[in-house]
Amino acid sequence: MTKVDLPDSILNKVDKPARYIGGELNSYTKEVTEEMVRIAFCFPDVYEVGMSHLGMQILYHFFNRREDLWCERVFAPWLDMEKIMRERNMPLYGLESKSPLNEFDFVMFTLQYEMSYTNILNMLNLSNIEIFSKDRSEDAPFVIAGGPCAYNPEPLAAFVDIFYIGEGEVMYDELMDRYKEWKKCGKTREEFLASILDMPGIYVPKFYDVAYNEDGTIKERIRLHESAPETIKKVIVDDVDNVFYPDCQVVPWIRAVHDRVTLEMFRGCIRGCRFCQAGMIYRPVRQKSKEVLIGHAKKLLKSTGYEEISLASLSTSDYKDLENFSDELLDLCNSEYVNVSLPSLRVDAFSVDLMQKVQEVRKSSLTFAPEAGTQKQRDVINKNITEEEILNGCKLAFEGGWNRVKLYFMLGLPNEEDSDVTGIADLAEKIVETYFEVPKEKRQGGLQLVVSTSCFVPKPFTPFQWAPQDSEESFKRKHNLLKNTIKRRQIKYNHHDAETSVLEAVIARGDRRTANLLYTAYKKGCTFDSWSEHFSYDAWKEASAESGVDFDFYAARERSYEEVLPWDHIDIGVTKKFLIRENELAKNVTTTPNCAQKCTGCGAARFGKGICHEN
Amino acid sequence: MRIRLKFRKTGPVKFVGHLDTMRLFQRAVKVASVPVAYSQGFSPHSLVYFALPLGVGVQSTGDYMEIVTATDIDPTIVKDNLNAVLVEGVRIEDAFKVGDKSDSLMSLVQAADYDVRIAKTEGVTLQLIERKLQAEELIVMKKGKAGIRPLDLKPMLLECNVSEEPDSILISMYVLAGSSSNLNPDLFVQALLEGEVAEIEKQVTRKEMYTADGDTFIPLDTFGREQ
Repeated sequence: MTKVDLPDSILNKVDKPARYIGGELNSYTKEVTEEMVRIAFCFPDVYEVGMSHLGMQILYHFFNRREDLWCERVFAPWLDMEKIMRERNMPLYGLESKSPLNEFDFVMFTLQYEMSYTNILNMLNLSNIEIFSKDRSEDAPFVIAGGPCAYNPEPLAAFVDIFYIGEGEVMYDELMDRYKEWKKCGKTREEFLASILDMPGIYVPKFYDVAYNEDGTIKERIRLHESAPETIKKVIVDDVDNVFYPDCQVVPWIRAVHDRVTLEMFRGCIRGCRFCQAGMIYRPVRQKSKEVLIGHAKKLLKSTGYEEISLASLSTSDYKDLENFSDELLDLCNSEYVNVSLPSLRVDAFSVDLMQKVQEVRKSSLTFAPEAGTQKQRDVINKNITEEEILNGCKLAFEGGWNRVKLYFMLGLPNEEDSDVTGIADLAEKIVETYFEVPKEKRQGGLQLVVSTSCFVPKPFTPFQWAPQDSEESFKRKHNLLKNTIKRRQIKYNHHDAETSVLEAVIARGDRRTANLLYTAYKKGCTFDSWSEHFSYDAWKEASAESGVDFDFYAARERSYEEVLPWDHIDIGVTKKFLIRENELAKNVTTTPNCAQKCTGCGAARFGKGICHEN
Repeated sequence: MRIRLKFRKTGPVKFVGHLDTMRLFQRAVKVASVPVAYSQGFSPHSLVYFALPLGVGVQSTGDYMEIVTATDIDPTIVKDNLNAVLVEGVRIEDAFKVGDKSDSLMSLVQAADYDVRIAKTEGVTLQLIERKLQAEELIVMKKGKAGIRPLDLKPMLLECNVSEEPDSILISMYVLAGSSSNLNPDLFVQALLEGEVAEIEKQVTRKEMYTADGDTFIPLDTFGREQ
C-alpha cells in the first residue's frame, strides 16, 4: 500500500485544510490484508457537501461492517487544493488510508445531481484513472456509479464500468463476494463484467450498443453479450425495519451543510407529484416502525454526540404513526438537550402542530412548497393541496408566532399560462392578508415572506418525461412577469437561473451521445458547475457546438409516447403505461389519489412489499 | 463541579480550527458520557470552556480546557473516558478538580511558550534573528480597527532562545498570552524575518500556558488544583 505524502506545507496553504486529513470520529482505520477489497466511495463535490449525504453514511458503515472490505471516503478537492495537487503531481487519495485511488479495487461514485458530473471526470483524472471506460487497463479499478441519477445511466455510460440500479444494501455484498472470487481466479476485466450480468440491479453499459434514427432519436438498443439482460430491474430493500442501518455517523471536522444525526423514516412517497422523480423511483413506500426509529435515534445520538437530529424522508408528515413517534422522540431529545429539525413539510394543520411541538421556544422560518400558484396548476402536477389548506396552515403558523415564511414554486410546469405565474403573486398576497387578519396581539411583528422559484426540469421516470422544457427566454420573461406582479414590500422574490436548469434538463434526459458534451465541457475547464460562481454557461455552449449535442433536442423537444427513451431499459417497477396515464390526466387537469387513499396501479406493487400490500 | 483538563493536539488534527475543535470536544464529552452541565436559557449548550484559541495548523502539547459537570465525578474517570473516544492526535494528559469560585480558565492565562521551527532558506539566518532580538524594539505593522499602525512587540516578549539545527532554525519563545495582552507567534516570527514569513515553511508548537503567581508565572497545571 502506498501513501500519498501530505506535508504541512500544502495544508498550510489551502482553505479549510481539515477537508483533506481524514481521521474523524467514527471513521475506519483498518489493516490492509491480501484478501481485502478496497472501495473508494466518492462524492463528486466538496467535503462539506458530501459529508452531509445520508447515503454515503449508510453505505460507508455497511461496507465497513465486513472485515474483508475497507471503504474510504473521497471528495472533490476544492480548486486551491486541486491546483497544488496538479503542480506536485499528487494523486487523489482515500481520506482514511491516503492511498492513491488507482490502487483501489472499486472507485464508486454517488450520482446525486447532474451538475456534479464534470467533477466525476475531474476526480478520475486526478486519480490517474482513464476517464473513458474503454481505455482502462486490466489493473485499473472498476468504476461503479449509483444513486438517483443512475436511473438514467446513459450520459455517463462511456465513463462508468458498472451501474448499480437501486438500493445499495441489496446486492453489494454479493457483488463484493463475486469480485473476490474473480480476483482469485486471475481472469480478465471483461470476464468479471460479464460474470455479473445475471445480478439484478447491475447494468454494464459496455455490453450494449445504441442505434439511432436519422432524426437523432433512438432506433434500438443492441445487446452485445448473450447474458446481457433486456431490462435492468431496480433492487429494493424488502424489510426496512431489519435492513442494516448504521449505529454511528462519521462526524465531520468542519461544519457540513447538514451536520447532525439523520434518521431515515421511510423510503418512497405516497404523494405521486407528477414532476417528482424521487416520488417514482423510490416506490413503493416502506416505513420503519416507531420502535426501530427510536432505537436508531438513541444509538446515533450516543455515538456522535450531536446536538441536533433531523428526520429524513420525502414527506415527513405522511409518516403513519407520526404523533406517537414525534412525542417519543421529543421526550428523548429534550432530556438530552438535542434539537429536532424537520424538513419536507406540507402546508397543513398537522405539520404546523408538529412544528409547534418541536420548536417551543425559538421560531425559525417555516418552509412550504406549494410548487404552483394556482389550483389548476397544482392539479396539473398532482400536488394535492388546496389554497384553503395553504392559507389555513399559514394562519396557524402566524398564530403560533412564526413571522418568516419561505415558499417554493416552480416555473415552466407543463401547460403553464401567464395567469399561473401571476397566480404565485396572488397566493403570496393572500398569505400576507392572512397574516394581517390575525389579531395583532396574537402574531409576531415584522412579516417576511420569501417567494422562491426554480425552473422546472423534466426528469426521466416521471409523467412529464416526454414534456418540452420552457426556453431560457421564456423563463426569463416569467421571472420578470412575476417580479413585476409582486407589489408588497413584505414579499421578497428570489429565482434560480434558467441557464443551469436548461443544462440540467439536457443531461437528465441525455443519451450516450451526451457524454461528448460532458467530456468537451470538462476539457474546457468546467468543474463545480453547481457552484454558481464557477458555472460558465459560455463554456457549455461552446462544448455544445463542438460536440454536436444540441440543447434544444434534449431539453426543449416534446417526445412522443412511441419514441424509444434512453432509459427505457431500466425498470423501476412503475410502468410506462402508468406514467402515460398520469401525463394524460395532467393534460385534463385531473388529480390522482395518493397511495394511502387508493392504489392506482402504478406497477410498484410487483415488489410485494410496502404500502401496496398494507391496505 | 469544575474539572480542568490538560491536553495535546498534534498531528493532522492540528488543521482543525478552534471553533471546530470546541464542537469536537462538546461532542466527545457526550459520547464519553461525562455528566456535563448545560447553560440555562433558550438554547442550552454544554459548559465546556477553552483557555486560549489555537490557530489552524498550530499543534499543542500543553492546552487546557474545563468542563462543568452536573454531578460530581472523579476527574481521572473523565480523562480515561474521554481518551477512549477522542480522535487520534488529541489526548488528555491530566485532569483535576478546581474550586467552584476559581477564576475563569480564559482569564487565568497570562503567558505561553511556543517552539517555532523554520526552514533555513536564503536570507534567513541565525545571525539575522539574533540581531533583531538584540535591538531595542521590534516593530511590526499591524492591522487594527484604526488601520495599519506600528506596534512594538518587545514588551510582550518575556524570553527568546534561538538555536540552529541542520536544516532548520528553532525559535523558542516565552511570551505574554491571553485576553489582556497576547503575542501571536506568527506575528512575532514575521517581525523577526521582516515579512518574508509567508513564503517560509514553519511548524509552530504551543508547549505550555502560564498564570501569574505573585511575581512569577507558573504552569496552569500547578495552579488551583483541589483534591
